[in-house]
Amino acid sequence: MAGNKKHIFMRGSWKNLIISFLLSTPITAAVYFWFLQPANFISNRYIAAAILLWIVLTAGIFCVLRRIKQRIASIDQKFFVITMLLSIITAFLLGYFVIGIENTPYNLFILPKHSLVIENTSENEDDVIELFTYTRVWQVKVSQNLSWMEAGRE
Amino acid sequence: MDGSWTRVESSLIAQGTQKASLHYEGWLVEKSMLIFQAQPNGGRVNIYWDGQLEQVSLLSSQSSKKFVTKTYKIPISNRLPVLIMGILTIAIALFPLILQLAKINNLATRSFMVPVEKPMRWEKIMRRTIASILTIAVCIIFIGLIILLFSTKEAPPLDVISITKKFNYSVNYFKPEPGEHLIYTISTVALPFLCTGFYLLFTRLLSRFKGNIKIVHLLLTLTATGCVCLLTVAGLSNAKMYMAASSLVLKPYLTLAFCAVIFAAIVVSTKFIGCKRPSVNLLFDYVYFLAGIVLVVLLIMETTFNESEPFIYKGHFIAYFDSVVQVYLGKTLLVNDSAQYGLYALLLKPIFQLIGLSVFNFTLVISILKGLAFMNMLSLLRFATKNRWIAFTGFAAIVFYLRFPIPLDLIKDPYFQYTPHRLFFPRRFYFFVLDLPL
Repeated sequence: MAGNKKHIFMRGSWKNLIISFLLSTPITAAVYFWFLQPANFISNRYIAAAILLWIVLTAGIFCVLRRIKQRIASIDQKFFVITMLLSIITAFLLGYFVIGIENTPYNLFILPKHSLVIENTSENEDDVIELFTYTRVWQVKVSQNLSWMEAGRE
Repeated sequence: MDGSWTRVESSLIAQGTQKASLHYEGWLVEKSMLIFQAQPNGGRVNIYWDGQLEQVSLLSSQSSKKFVTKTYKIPISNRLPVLIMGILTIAIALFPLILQLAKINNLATRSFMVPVEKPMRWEKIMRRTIASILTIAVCIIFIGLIILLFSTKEAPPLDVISITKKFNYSVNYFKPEPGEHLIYTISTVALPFLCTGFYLLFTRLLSRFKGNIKIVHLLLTLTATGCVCLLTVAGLSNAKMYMAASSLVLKPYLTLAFCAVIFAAIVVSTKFIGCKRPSVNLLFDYVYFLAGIVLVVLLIMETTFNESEPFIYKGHFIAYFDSVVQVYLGKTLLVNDSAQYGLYALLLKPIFQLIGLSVFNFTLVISILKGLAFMNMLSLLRFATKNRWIAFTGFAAIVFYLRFPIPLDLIKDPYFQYTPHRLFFPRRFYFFVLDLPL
């Protein structure tokens, strides 16, 4: 009977551990890219936070899997696969059509670096150049809101 | 930071003609912005974005902020892995919810899939699936080969006078494509025979195959699914114009609401209606089918119109209708007239000789063909799936995606180049391949 077949979850705890790692990896990566990654620099602090989250999630999922392994094993394998497919399809619909690829944050690790140089070329002694800065090092201000930017333009 | 910059509160100030420059190397956001103070004694700055010079003057009669922006195009491929991670995370979060929902409602797999009791029958189905996939692959290779052989290398001269008399569009839209026309003709004529021939051949060959059919089936199914996914993504990213016409993109929340309602209907029907008497089940079977027929009737309605519609003077309709008129009036395609979309006018000529040609008669015939094409799709789904709700959902999704905006607005559809033109015969062929009644 298909219903009594053993799941991958039941075949040893080291496999549970691998599955926990595999499940926690996309969650951690998504949390990092969607919520933690700064707009234009890679922060070691946030990477450390993401790694910590990864470890915590792995441990958490491992414990949950151990606790519910009997319950998972009681599920029909076909039923399991269909549910998995339904979840992926629903997630795809949500991700692609509701969130949209344009609204997805980019992956800073694989973006090329840019260079920016600002030079004073004033010709009079009275001329003043004033550049607004927002952090301890001068920085390009991040703005996703174009309409605000357009409204502020002269 | 070089030169004579002075830090004042939240800004950096350089004064006079002294040398002052700022250098930055690193990541920049998609829409980078620098904010300067423009003022009556504002100076001038040169900004080099990746070496590209932009000169900015900060001279202004009144003090105000000056925004200097630069947009860097970030390729979609960069966002794709992040989106995939997001989708996987949502899927992981949804999995226990859907599992719980399905368990609460006591949904068994037999509600969704046609049960296969005998292993021999299951094996036969697997062999048929393998034969179908291989047949499709061979047919695609065949089309690829004839495209390589017959594609138009040099376009023949345009019949500019004839085109400008008929249409108000640029003549470039009407470039003759004899090679492509030949490809279309060869494919249309040869594919049914190729499909049948290769399907029979592969079925015979597979019946002699002694190895593990399950592994071959799994590998081929996975490969085919992967190819379909890739083609879907390629289609989604390259067909923005056609996607824009779809409510699925324009109204995503309504789309999800529609999916949720259909899902709830499936759950409810499986849980409650399945327990009732067979006569009730039969009635509901027909209710689903009737709902599908209502959609087909709506499709027919939107395709039927007469001379009072203003869009009959526009390009899409004229491009399709003109060759029918010319053939009806006595011209012969490929001899003294051309048709952008093939030789369908010759096939339709006898019908119009019987009923007469007018815009209404033409659209009526086209709408019947369109209705038949969609009916074939509905019947296919009905016979191929056990749960009628799922059949109806699939059909409704196709119709919804192709045509209907929400809120329902039955605008007339003068574009016949896809349905029925390109969809009618493929949909009829389903029945030959799948060996279904009808």
